Amino acid sequence: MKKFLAVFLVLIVAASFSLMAAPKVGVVQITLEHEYQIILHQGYIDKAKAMGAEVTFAITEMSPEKTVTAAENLIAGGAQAIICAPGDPASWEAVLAMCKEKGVYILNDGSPQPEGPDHVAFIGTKSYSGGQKAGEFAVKWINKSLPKSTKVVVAHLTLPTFTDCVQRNKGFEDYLKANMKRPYEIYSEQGMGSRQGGLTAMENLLQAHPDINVLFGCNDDSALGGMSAMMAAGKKDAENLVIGFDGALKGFEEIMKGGMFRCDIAQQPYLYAGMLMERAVKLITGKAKLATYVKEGTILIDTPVVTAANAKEWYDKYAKLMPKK
Amino acid sequence: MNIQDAAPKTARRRWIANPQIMQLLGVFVALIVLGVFFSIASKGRFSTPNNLLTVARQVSITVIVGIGVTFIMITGNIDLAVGSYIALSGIFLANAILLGVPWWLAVLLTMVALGALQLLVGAVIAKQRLTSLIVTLAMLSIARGIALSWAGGKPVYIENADFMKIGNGYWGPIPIPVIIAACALVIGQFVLRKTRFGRYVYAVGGNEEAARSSGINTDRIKISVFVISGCLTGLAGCVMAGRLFSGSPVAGQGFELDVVASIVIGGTSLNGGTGSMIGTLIGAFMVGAINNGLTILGVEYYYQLMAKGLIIFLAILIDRWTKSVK
Repeated sequence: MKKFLAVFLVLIVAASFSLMAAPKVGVVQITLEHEYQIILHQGYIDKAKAMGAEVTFAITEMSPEKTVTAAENLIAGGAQAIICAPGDPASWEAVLAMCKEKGVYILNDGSPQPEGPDHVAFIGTKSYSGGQKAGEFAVKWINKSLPKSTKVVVAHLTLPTFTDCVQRNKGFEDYLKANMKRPYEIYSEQGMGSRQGGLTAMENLLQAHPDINVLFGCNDDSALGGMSAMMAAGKKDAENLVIGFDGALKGFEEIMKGGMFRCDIAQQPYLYAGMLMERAVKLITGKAKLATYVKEGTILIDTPVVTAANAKEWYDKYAKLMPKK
Repeated sequence: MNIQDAAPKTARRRWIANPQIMQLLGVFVALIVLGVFFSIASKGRFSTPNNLLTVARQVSITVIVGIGVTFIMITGNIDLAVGSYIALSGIFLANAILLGVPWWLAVLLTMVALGALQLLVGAVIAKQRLTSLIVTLAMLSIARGIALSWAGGKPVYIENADFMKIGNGYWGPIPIPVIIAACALVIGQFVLRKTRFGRYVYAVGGNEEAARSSGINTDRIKISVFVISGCLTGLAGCVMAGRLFSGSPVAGQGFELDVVASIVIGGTSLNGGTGSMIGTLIGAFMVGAINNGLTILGVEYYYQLMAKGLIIFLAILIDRWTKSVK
């Protein structure tokens, strides 16, 4: 009898230990070569730590097949929930099907996708309205700073394979179309979402249209690259405008310098990461039901507009979030 | 000791002294050691049958493409455009299925189409005496551009449950992509090792002038290996499309690096003349195991990149050492 009780107690203790094992979350990120993604990465780490969860990462370099491979590897590593930023809508479908088959929770970190009862919908930036805010700033600046006799020539740098960037450019263009009372020309070029790409694209645009005086980059990297091309072409700060999107520290620095880079539409990756990780952990530990989050649907978070008035405040806030090495 | 006793020992010594076999053995041992390390470090997660089959499925596409590129590299050439061809195959296939072509016929047509494209590429390289590095670098851009413009930058969805099994289905416990890769490997190994064509491939890579002088139509051999590679890449593109539920115009970016790394790690010389399908298989598993194992262990991404680069670097060093021993 005593032996039986002893064995029974050991089993109970072992079972309770296994129940107490830390929840494990796998995160599929598109890259770690970008400040937004680095802050997002840190956000996941910090929130997981705060909630007592383990987190492992896989980086896909925006490749659809690597997205599928990444999810497979994370699940093989024991992840009970996957937070996934897909390389494209099709790889999202593939990962969704895989997680359903394996009984693993899945949360969308990439871009808005069709909602369903089997996953937590996208939490992220209101990209279209952010683009509109960039357009609003551009229109106000043009009306205030460019004499009526000055031709308005607008360039915007795009990244057609990335849904969020497409939405930003569309928002910007649509706002101008609806609200610019002055005549203007508008041109676009693929900026590859990078400084190198933005620089090359803008150099080419300036060759064709040397009087470009307004630039919107679908992200800060391409905007900063484009700005380098404008400066190299001898464009004066007072007569030109550059607007970025993301909220990179370099963007805030440029605003504080008081040059032609005057506005940045900031995303809030640390906030999204916290929200997604919290949901993932609560689902794994049974503290929340999937149906609750499914009912919430897609959550799009507004984009603060960063200008000279508040750039220092945002710079300090984001500088603290960058990982300390 | 009499002559009859000496003969088997001499044969064994020859076998052991063969640098190619030794390199293959070396890489195989390295793969086993890596696997054991990952198993221990991951507390057994790496070596579960489910995970090993997952790795096998992941590398199956690399193996299928790698078989074709191994043929090319043994002749002393290279193909840097395979990643773009993967994307182009997927778009071609997806559009064919959308037009109502039965999926199995669409797969065959995709293989034929890519084979035809590579016939052109191979002919340009062989007849115009152009460097395959430059020609295939150009094709990398051209093929990607065609895929992107054809698809409008977006994936082309495939809504055919039967076709999806190619990428995600099982035959018993074995993923179907693994079976496809295994069949391609067996056929590729047979052609390379047991046919006259295979001997000619080695001859062209070993010494093209000597091969030509001995009556081998070296241009035809070079064109043929590109055609073989095209057909296999077309097949791999179909498997990829099955995995992704779509033809994706951005699929396969950087894939050529994994393929070439697998082939070189497996012992195929960058200068041509040596190589084997088994080596490519082992190399592909090495690359796949590293990706899988490092992710399971939660190693930081930046260190993962370093690890992969170091492995490729070591493989090239071993390649050079092997040549110097020969």
